[in-house]
Amino acid sequence: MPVIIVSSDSYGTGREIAESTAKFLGYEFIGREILAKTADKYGVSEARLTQALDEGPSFLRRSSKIRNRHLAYIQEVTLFELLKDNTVCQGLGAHLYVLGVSHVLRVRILSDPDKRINQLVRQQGVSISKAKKILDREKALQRRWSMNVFNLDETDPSHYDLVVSLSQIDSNEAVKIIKETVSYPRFKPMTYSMNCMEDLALSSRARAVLWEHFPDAKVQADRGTVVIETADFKWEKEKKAKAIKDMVRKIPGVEYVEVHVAGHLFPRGSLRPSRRAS
Amino acid sequence: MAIITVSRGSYSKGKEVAEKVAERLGYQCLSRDVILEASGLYHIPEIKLVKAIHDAPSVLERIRGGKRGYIAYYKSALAGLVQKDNIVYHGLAGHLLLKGVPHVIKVRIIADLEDRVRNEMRQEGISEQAARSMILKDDQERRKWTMSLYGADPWDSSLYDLVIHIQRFTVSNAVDFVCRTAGMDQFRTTRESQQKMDDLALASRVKAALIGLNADVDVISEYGNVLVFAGTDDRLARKIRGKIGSLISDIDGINNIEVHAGAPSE
Amino acid sequence: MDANVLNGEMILVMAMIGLAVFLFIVEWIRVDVVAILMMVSLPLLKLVTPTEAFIGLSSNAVVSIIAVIIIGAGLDKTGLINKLVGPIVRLAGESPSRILVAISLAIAPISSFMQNIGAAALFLPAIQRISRALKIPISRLLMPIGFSAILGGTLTLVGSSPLILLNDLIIPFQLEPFGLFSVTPIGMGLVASGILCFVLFGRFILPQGTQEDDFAEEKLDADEGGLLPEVGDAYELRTPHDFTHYREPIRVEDLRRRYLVNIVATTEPPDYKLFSPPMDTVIRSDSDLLVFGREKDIKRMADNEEIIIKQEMEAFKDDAADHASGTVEAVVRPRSPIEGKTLKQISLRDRFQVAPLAIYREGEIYRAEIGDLPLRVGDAIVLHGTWKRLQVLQAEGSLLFTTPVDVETMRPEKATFAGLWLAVALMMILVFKIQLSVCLMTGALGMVITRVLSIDEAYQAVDWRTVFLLAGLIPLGIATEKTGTAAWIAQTVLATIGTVKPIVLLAVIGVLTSAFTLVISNVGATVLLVPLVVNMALAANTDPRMAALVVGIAASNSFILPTHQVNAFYMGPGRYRSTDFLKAGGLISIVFIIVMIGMISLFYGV
Repeated sequence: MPVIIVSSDSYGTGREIAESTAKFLGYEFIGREILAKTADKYGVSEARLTQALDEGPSFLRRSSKIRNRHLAYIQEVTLFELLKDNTVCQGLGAHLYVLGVSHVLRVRILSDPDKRINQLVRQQGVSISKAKKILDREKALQRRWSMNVFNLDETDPSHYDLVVSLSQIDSNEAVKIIKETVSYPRFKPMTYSMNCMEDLALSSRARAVLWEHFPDAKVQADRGTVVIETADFKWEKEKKAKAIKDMVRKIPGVEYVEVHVAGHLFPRGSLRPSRRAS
Repeated sequence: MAIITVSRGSYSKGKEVAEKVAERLGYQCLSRDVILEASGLYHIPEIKLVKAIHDAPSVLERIRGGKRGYIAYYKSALAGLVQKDNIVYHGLAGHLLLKGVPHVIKVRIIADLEDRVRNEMRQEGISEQAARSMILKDDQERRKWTMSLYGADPWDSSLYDLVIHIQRFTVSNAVDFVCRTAGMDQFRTTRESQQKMDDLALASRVKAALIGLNADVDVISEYGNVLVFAGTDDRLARKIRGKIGSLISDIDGINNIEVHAGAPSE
Repeated sequence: MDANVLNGEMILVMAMIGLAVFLFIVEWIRVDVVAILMMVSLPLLKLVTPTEAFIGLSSNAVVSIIAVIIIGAGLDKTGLINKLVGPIVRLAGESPSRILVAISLAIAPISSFMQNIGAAALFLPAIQRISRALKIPISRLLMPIGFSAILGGTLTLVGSSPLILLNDLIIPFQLEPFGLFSVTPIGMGLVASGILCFVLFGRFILPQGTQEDDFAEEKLDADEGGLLPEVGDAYELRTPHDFTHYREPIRVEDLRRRYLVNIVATTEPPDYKLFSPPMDTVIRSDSDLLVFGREKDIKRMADNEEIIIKQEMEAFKDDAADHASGTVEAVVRPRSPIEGKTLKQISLRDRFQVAPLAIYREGEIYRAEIGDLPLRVGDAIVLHGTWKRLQVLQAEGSLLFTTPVDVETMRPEKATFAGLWLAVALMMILVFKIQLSVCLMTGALGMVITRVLSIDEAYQAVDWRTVFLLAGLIPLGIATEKTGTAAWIAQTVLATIGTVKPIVLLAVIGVLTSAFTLVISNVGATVLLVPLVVNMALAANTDPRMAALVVGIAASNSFILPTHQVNAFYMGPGRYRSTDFLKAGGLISIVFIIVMIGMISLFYGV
């Protein structure tokens, strides 16, 4: 009943592997289809959501703020989807924000560079060296995106349990390897790991709710207890804490809310949902 | 029916995995043997060789290219040893030195830093701080080494077929993965892939034989047709042409050898 | 001469000379670009007036050389020279020495009215043919003939660039200009002594290596086409019906890289024949292959890839026959547009459907990956193809073919006109004493008007490198003279060495010029040295005209290194190494200086 998160250097390749894994194991596939749902729920455009997942960082803080908001919405929806077991998730950046949950298998699939180069050459009619350059740039952009948004380098293999390169291993074999891996007992969900997942989901929901008014808030959750860190000038402190409490309390599953408002102005908000260290 | 290279950081259980894989598949397991072979073949002291292939080149060496010679010797010895197939190699830079041979499975085993520190403390009986700094230094050295010689980062996962994060698995899980990969059709040694391996071995032998000329040349081979690329220096090409005959006289399997200017096209 | 004191201007001129010499030697930029750099920077530094800077372009020398090139192209186009050469060679019979003398004697006068390199290119196919027909190693012929072409350049005042320049360079000194044939006696002496050297000492100074002997002998065994041993022979093979089963597709390129054999034709079912298949053509089952390669390689391929070698030609019996297709050696000609490019870049195979088999360069044979070698002038490419395709390639003009194919662009019917106009030009020079450039341009114009060659062809023939090299260096000469730099150097040198006999002075000038011409171009050497030596001669009471003449002639004394265009060009086809030039060129260079000084003292009584 584990969760498999597939990440890849190419969206198409990752999708192909994730879908066939889901089919092969009889798991549910969670992909970018949920973006439509997200768009409905938060009243934003689906295209912007996709853009937030694909686009590199920009120099303008404003646009990166908008992107972070979109990402917060995507996280919320994704994490609640992942509470269902037996899922394969791909294309939603989940490998960057579902950390520390033992029944999640995180797999990185590396596409065959030659194949992609050929594809580029065929589709866009560019030269081989140009195609290589395009791929290199894409890779650098992905790295920058993940560093910028989640402060993690998604090309670093140590963030994954398994990295499989498709340059020689074909996709069927890759799927079989994944299947074998999830059958190991340590990927079985346990109460503790399920709790971890739920905490992540809850904190991400609180974060999404708060986003509109308090984009800088940092949220942690631990079994119904939600701790929010934010910052403001002293005289606003009380008012702000109350407003936050009122908003978060309405979320089902939240039992207790605590707001820490620091006296300085620029806290480092984190987009990644987290569990409260207890 | 394959060659498996296991790349690993120190104390990341990679050695254990490699040995177990070899045992299970009945392959020969190689590591230090390559150094012995190289020092025997080319009459160089073992210690110098170990230093050259382990430490990152110093600034001076980078200019003189002194290290390149040792690496050529090492590569030649390694290629010669793995040529006979059914090998697990867990020494240095196997994934880089044996690049381009289809039946070479390139595996990397990674572990969390904390675990490696703990392992080292236990095995060496040293303090945590000492263990940590040694591991970090070793990694750094490794990285500098591959960067300076191959322009590639050893951490770059695209250099490998399979990267296994040992933390989440047991050693025997990892052994399962590797053995199962070794059983795939793609990694079966075919006549063509063995030919590529033979060509790689031949090219490395020729390159090692030319080290005495103190020239940075590229050597490639296809079906025994060896091409030596001498770069843009015409004088160097002429020098090589003049001396190559006697240097390669004891190498078998060369069908044709030519010295060209320039560099091999990709 | 006034007493000269070194001043700032002089230092500046010397710095510019230093810069030019430096750039000539290191060749960071091409020599003609260096010349243009001088042309532009000298007026900017106010060392010459703007008019003087560009006076070179309207100089007699430049106009003459343009005219000479056009006349040469006209003679070439009509095949007039080939017609003259044929009988000469026939007269010579089969003795190598006699052939050598005959061709050398033929090339020298032709070279005296054309650019040396043009004459050399013209003769190359004929020489290769003779070498092949009479089984004389080409290395025994090519170098002597190349040297004769260079020496022939000293026969007339229009024979080589330095001599053409001479009259322009001595204008500032108000010396009497030289006539067209003023140098002829000296040139004749030089040509004669050069040929004599090779006839007498040829066996000692020319490469006689065993390689060449083997080469000649093996050729006897090869069939009529005279195939080269390194390239091998033609074989017909057949792939079995299960050739493509259970394996990656094998392409023409793969077989070439693996076994160094060349698939020049395949059959495609039912009975279509594909000649010079593209490199990525996949070899099919049940098809016939026409393959060029060494027996050893063919056998290796047949064994490894399970292809059957047929005992004799079947499918390609007609196509492989001599009348339909063949192997030729084509040389990259000077100023060829393909110089510096690779065969792949010019997609020779696809455009002309001929298969390159090997490349010869400086005594090396390249067979592997020849598509990636940047070509140099003088590289000999062995090509296989049908005669028709080869003709098309020859007509394109970037390669010089050993085997002449009748190409339509030749206009043999105009030979009379070409000869006539050359005669007219000579008449004007000799009988009416009109200025050289006017006479030559008349001849060139006459050829255009009588349609020996079209005006566009004439424009194309002009070698702008030479034109700008000459025109650009002339202002440097002017600056050297005008600022008094030449006089100052001359006085300083003479003050150091003291008084010498005129003949010794001339000999020293000859040696100095020979040394200069090896490292900087012959034109560069002439421009720099003429003002200098004229000043020296004036100061030392020697005939300044003779001093200038020595420079003009000795500038052709470029045999030791293959830096002269002609030598560089013959290096590939002759399979020469640099050391070969050192040996033969060394002797000729010494003889050159002795004969030159001897002839000058004999005819002009210095």
